[in-house]
Parts: sequence; structure tokens; C-alpha cells
Amino acid sequence: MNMKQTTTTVLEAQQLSKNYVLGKNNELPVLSSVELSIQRGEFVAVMGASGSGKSTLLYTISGMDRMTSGRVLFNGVELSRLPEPALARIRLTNMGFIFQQIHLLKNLSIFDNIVLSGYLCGNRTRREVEGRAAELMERTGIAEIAGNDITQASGGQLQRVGICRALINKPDIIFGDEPTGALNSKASGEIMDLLGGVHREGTTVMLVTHDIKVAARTERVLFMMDGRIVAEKRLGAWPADGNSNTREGSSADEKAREAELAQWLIELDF
Amino acid sequence: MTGILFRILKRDVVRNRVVNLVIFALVAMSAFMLASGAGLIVQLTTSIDTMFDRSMVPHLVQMHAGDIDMERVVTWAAANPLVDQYQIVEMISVDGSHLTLGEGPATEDNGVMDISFVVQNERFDFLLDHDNRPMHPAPGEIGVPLYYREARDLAVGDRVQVDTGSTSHEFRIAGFVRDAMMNPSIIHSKRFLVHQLDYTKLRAYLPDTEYLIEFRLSDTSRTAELAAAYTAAGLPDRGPSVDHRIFRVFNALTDGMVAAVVVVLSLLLMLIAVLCLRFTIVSTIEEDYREIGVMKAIGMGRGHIRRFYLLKYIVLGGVASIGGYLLFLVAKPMLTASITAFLGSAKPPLMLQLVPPAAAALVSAMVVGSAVLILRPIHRISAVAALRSSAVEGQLRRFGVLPLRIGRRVGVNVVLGVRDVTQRPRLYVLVVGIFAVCAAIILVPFHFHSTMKDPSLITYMGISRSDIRIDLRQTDLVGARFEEMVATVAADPEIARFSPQVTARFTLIHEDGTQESMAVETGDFSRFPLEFFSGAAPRDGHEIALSVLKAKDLGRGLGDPLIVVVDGEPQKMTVSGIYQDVTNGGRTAKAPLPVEEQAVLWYSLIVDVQPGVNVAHKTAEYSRLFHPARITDLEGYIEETLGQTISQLAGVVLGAVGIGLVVAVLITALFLKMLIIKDTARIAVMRSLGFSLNDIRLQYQSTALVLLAAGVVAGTVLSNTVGERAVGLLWSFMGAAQIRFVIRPFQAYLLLPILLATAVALTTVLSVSRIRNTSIATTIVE
Repeated sequence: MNMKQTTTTVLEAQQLSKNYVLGKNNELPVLSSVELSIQRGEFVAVMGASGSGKSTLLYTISGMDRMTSGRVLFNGVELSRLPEPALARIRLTNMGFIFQQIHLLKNLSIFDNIVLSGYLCGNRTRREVEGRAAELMERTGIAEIAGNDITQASGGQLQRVGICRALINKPDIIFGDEPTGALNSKASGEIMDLLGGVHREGTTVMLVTHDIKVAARTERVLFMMDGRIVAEKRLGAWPADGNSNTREGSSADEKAREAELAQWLIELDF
Repeated sequence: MTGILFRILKRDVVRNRVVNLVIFALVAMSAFMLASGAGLIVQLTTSIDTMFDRSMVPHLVQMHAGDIDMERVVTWAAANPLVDQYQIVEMISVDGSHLTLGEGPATEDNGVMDISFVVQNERFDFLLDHDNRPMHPAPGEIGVPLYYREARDLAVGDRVQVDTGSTSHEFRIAGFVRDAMMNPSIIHSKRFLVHQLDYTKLRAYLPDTEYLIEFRLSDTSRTAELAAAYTAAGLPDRGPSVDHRIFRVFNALTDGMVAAVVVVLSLLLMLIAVLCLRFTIVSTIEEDYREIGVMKAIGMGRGHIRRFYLLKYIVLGGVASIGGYLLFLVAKPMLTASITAFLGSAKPPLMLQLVPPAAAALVSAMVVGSAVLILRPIHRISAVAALRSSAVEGQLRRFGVLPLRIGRRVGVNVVLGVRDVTQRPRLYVLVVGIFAVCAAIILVPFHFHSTMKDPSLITYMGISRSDIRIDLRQTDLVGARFEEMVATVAADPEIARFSPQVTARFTLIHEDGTQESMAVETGDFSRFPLEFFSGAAPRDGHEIALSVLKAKDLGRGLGDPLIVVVDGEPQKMTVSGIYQDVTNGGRTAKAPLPVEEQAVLWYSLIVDVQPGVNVAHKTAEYSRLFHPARITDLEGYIEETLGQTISQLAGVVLGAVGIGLVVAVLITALFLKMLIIKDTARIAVMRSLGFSLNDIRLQYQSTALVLLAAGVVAGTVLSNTVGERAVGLLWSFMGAAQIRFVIRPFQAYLLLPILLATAVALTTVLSVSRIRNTSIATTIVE
């Protein structure tokens, strides 16, 4: 299935609800009539207290979890109507995922963990997949550990491997569930720099996070409470970074954005 | 992609050496044994087929002792449309005391075999040489039954002497004969082959002859019909009548039983391999639970994920099966030595080339098939649930908890070890199952061997258990001789009890009025009781007991009526019991009926000596007194007829004990290895609480021994129930349908479990010594 589209809306949720079944006649609503639209190239963060439904939203709109009611359209295709194998194919080909714990296959080297999804996707030659992997590893600064075992890498390096794995098939959208949650602030900053770069290249990114610093790097922050999106803030484009000459200036901008976001969250009682 | 799969495989093999090695060994062993068992069966059946083919075995044989009117038989046979070929074979009966095999000086006086001398037949029923060709000894040469080559350690060129006291005749062994009819040791008649000139000379001073009236049929399924027609015609029939199916069963018996036990063992091993597979795969899935979730999340299909896990088992199953098959090829000459010696080698048939590799392939298919089934839960793992979960341990059910205060007396560590079993029953139940199968692997062949060796075995074979059995074949004036014998025995103060039994022909009248002649043993059956398959011995002249095969032939069951001609009058009788019999073709009956002298086939006298009387001496004494009766001491009888089977079974028992121990050791090593990895955090916590390494080791040793004890108890129950039935099934090949294990409690319930416990305890000590350099801090942080 070729899902590459040129429409502006990548992902759209309409009246999306999700209940967890706890027992007979005992259901817990986690998402209630969520309306959401993500445009191509957007960089979105979802914030909210624990239990507000952030991760469930991410899992449901990515087709990983089934919704109770409503519709999710991905590149115009309604996901709720697709069978599991078709959903898996979309996740493999058109979506990328980054998790807090990245869980790589322990019987594979770092390089093989990255190329595996590329091979499974099957729409490029082996050489192309390996070329793409080498390029991604070079960009993320882990080229020298390509042949290593996963036990021979730091947490920050492993998260970069996760990013490379997510990008190997040039997805339309990257989903991140607390991608920096297990990292120290330095490693966290580096990962966000990388994701910023990915976004600048045109990939849509949607993150779930608790971290104001992470959310401040995005363009649009959604705030969830009790299974609903109750507020939204547009932060605008992030000034170019990564350049040592402009680093100080960007740092000041960063601080200002973080402060602005924090103020907004306080107003929301977060 | 293939490259990646193989890299996964390579790393897995290196990382989980012990686990993979154990599964490899189990699969290879079961492939080896299944290939061996299947190979043995194919070799056996093809060898028998070839031998039967080359010797042109008769389809129906009527034995006859005494005078014979050959003309009548020939006229009848020539006119009967069922008969394709026929011949009357004369045999000179040679008393064991006249025959010396090898350099002597011992004669065959104490042997249980009925010995006769014959010349090579002209039309069919050939006695074959080493190359399965009819043997033709030159004058002065003799062909000796193969049985004696093993039993008396003879070689070509050795001397055989027939010495009656007044005359003597010496032969050189030209070769050993394969006798399709009388090859098996369980058949207590043996034919020696000599040249016509020597035969004529012997005939002059050894006047006792017997006859085999032999038929080949164009339709071999109609032997029963021909036998009935033969007896109905009133032709010579003083002796049992046997058909070719019995020859086949007896020829297949010894090696067939070994092959069947090997197949049963291989299936048990396969069961263990599959249980282990389940254990390791389930553990791996538990361990990789979140990884599998992530794989699903990032869009890998079920098929892809399954392939990652399955590849290892495809390769492992394939390589191990090939290894097992190669081992079979190496061991094949040794395994089939007895078959090729006794039955001859068949031209390598296609089946022999195909079946063993197919059996090995079946094992690998079973491994892969089981892995596919066991891996199914991967489908059910939800990506979201796996990503959200921290562990799956919460899923384990917990049973009652053993209070720690008991530990003051027996040691806290032992209690903790034992308590762990009750707390994680799902984890341990599989290991108990495997230990149970290990115990069964050892105990079933052991019980079977004990049973085969036990004197009570013969009661399953249609022979009453007694010290001495005296058989007298019907010849002229034998009735009076038998009366004398009974009187002598009755007057002998060294005899505790005895029972004369006379086998005679009776006529049976079917519902449709047709008649059938049937050999019925008469006498008092209460003194030396038989084992009855169902019902009991006949109590009066209106009851009759039938052998399993005879009951089957007649379509009669317990309580069914039967009309038998007694004293010239039809008499209605009821089937009081069904017993198992291997004597006289397995088709016999027993009833306390009056006997007419001319209908008698043979006489028997079964005797128990007083306590303290030497049975061998008494046997020798009666042999002198009662000549030409055959006197058998029954222990000797078992030794001579079943000795070969018993010694082969002893080999199987040794093998089974070895396999059971090896498997128990392998499983213990595998299980503890996985358990210790699983319990890393638990061990670290205990160490931080102040438990020493020795304390922790003791806990695991206690756990392993509790599991073993439970397994041994379960295995013993399994052996004595399912095992007994499985062996009964094998036994049914012999015409016996049920067997009760003779159990030697000291060995079975003490010695063997102690042996298993020692092996498991030693393995545990070695395995838990690996709990060593785990850093408490790192493990807890992890």
C-alpha cells in the first residue's frame, strides 16, 4: 500500500473515544470524543498529567490500539476499518516510533537493528537500505558503534539507534512516547536537536511528553485532561540551531519559549 | 534479510549455549532412537520376508507323532483345490542325551529342545545357509540350527556327535541353518540338516520319527479353512497344527520387542524434547515480552516476528535430526547384528533406505511443529499492553504458602526452596512432568525385564507355574506308560503336589452344524492355576476355557455357549475363562472332560517338589526314569527359550537407565540455568538481606530435589498404569493380551530413584555453583 500523499492533513481524529474494559459492565473511559488534526510537516507535543490519556491517544491514532468509537484518518485512509496486518504494514512503512525504553533486539548488532525494518518493508534494495542506515547513523553520531552489540552502547546512543530505526523507511510521521524520559538533560537536549532536524527536513513529528523543555522545542502543544484535548498553544517555528555561532542566541529563545509554555501550563492548573 | 536471520541465530547459539545444547542433545537422541527403532522394524520385516520367501515357508503345518498313512494324505492333498503344494517331511527324533555339540563332554540331556534330524526338502520349506540359499551338507557334514551357535558357542568345523551307546556317528559342522519355522528360541523344536546317506544310517538305529505334513496354499488367507478340512477328513493329526502367521510372530518376537521398546523410548524422549522446547520458548517469550511488543508496534508482521523465533528451532531440529540419523548409520551394523545373524540380511530394500531418515525427519518436523504451536501466544501479545507492562510475573498463580516457622527445625533454606515450588507451580509443573517421563523411561523397561525374568511369566504363556513339567508325546502304548509315571510321581515322597493333564482332540459343533476338531487339555486346573485374561478356570465338565486366539477364531467370549462332543454325545458347555497362550500355535482350550485313549495328542504331568529338594537333581532323575518323556525344569525352560530376549532386554534396560539419567541431568542443568537467570534480581535481594551463596545454593538444591521426588512418584504411577498397558500391547503380539508387571520394589522404588536423585543432586551442585559473581548493587538497580 503506497500511502505517500501530498494532502496537507496527515492525521485526523474525529470523535475518537477509547474505553478500557475492566470487567463485565465496567469500562473506564480514557479518551472522550477527541478531535485532532495534524498537518504535514508539523511538530506537535501532547502534554498532560499522568492518566490524562496522552499515550493512549498516541497508540490509538497510530493504529497500534483499537478505538472504541470515532474515526482516525491517516493520509485519508480510515484506520479503524483496516485489519491488523494492514495496520502493521502502515506502521512499518509510513510511521516511525520512538519509545522511552527503545527495546532493541538483543541478538542483533546496532546496525542490524536499524536496517531490519528497512529489509522487512521490502520496497528498496538491500544496498539502498544499508546506505540510508549508514547516512542516518552518520547524522546521529553513532556511525562508529554500528557493529557493536546493543549492550555496548549508552542510553543516549541507544535512543539515537531508536531514532535511526524510526527513520529508516522515511516515514510520513514520527511518533515519540516520552523519547527523552530515560535520558539525562544533556542526552535529552541532543535527542531533541536531532528530532528538530528531522522535522526541519519535512517529517511530521508528534511527541507525548511531561517535559516542558521538550515541548518547548515543538511548534504546537496540545494539553490533555481526562481524556480530552482541553487546550492548544501554537509556539511557532523553532529558530535554527546546532550552529555554534548562534547557539547563545538560540539558548535565550529556548528559555523564553519554555517560560511562555510554563506560564500557559500554570494557567491550565498543570 | 536471510543474513540478519542467521546473525540472530549465531548470536543466540553463542549466548544460550547450555539451553541450545540440551535441546540439541534431546532432539538428536530421539531422532537416533526413532531412526533405530524404525530401522530395526524395517530390517526385521524385510529380513523375515526374504527368509520366508527363500525358504518357501509352508503356510500350514500339521505335526504328527506315530504311524502315518502317507497315501491317504497324498490323495487328499492332491484332490484339495486349496492346496498348491504339499509334502510330508520325516524327522528322526534324537534324544538330547544322545547328542553332543562341540567338544563336549556334556550332552544335550538337560536341554529343553526337541531335536530332530532331517534332510533338505525338495519342494519347499528349505533350511537355509548363511547366504539364504538352501543348504546341502555333504556326507559327514551337518547343518546346525543357528540357535546353538549362540547357545553353545559353536563354529563351522566343530564336531557334532550322535551316540546311542551302541553306535556312534560323528559330523563336522558345515554351517548353521536358518529354519524359517523353528529359528526362534521360543520354539522348542530344532531341526539339524544332514545328507541323505547319513540320514539313512541314523534312521537304522534311531527309530523314533515324527512327521511334518506341510502345505502351501495359493490363497494364504484360507489356512484355517484348510486346517478344518484336514481334521474333518480324519487324517493323521497327533500333534499341534501351526500356520505361517505364528512363525512370523515368533521370528519377529525378540528383535521386534526390542525395536518396539526402542520406539516407545524414542517417543518418550521426543515428548521430553517438546516439553523442554515449550519451557524454553515460553521463558524466552516472557523475557522478550516488551521486545515483541515493540516489534509489533513498529509494524513487524506476526509472520516476521514468528520467523525470528522459529528459525532457531528449524535449524536446531534439522541439524540435531541429521546428527541423530548419522549416529544411527554408525550404530546400524551393531543394532541389526542379531537380526541379520538369525534372519539373514535382506537385499537393501528401498524401505530400509527411506524409513530411518524419514523417522529422523519426523522428529525434526515434530520439533518445528511444536515450536509453531508454542509460539502462537506471540499473536496474542498486544503491542500496547507489552509497552505499558513492567513484568508478566503477576500472571503467575500462587498456591498455598508454606509457613517459614517450620524452617526452624528443617532449615530456613530448605523451606524457602520447597516453598518456591508451591509459589510458582506453573513454572515447576513442567519440570515435574519431565522428571516423571525420565522415571518412566527407566522404570518401564526395568519392570518389563523383571516380568520377563520372573517364573510367573509362563502363566501368561499358557503354562502353569510349577517346578517340573513332564511331556509325553502320543505313541503306541503311551497311555499305560503315562499311568506308570503318574503312579511313580504319586509315590515319590519328594513331590509336594502334581497334576496330570491330557491333551486330546475333541469335536466342536458349530451352530450351522459344521464340525471342527479342537485340541483340549483336560485335567484338574485348580492345583496349578493359570493367569486368566478374563473369567476363571473351568470347574466341571460343563465349563471350558479358551485361549485368546482360539476364542477370537471361534468368535466366543466369556459366558458364551459351545457344543463339544463328549463320549459320543453333543454336550453344551459354557466358556468360563479366557487365558493367554503361546504354546501349540496359541490356539488351545482347557476343560475337565473324560478322554478317549485314541483321541489323545500328548500327556503332561506338572509337578512341584517338596521344599529343599533340588529341582535339577529331580529333573535328571525323572529324565532317566521316564525316558522318552521330555522333562523340563521351568526355570531352565525360560532361560533357554526366552534367555535371548531377556538378555537383549537387559541391554535395553541398561540403555534406558543411561538415557533416563542423562536426560534428568540435562534437564536439571537447563532448568537451573534458566531459573537462575530469571531469578537474578531475587538472588541479589536475598544476598543483600544477608543470605550467603551457600544458603541460596541450598535453596535451589531443595527445589530441584522436591521436583525430582514429585516427578519420580508421578513417573512410578505412570509406569505402573500407562506403561503396563503399553507393554501389554507389545505383549499381545505373542497372543497374550494383558500382563501385570512383576515389580522388584528394592530396585524400582529405592535403588533407581536414589540413582536419579544422586545424578540430579550432583548436577544441581554444579549448576548452582554458577551463582557467584553477581553484583548485588547492579542487579538491584537493574
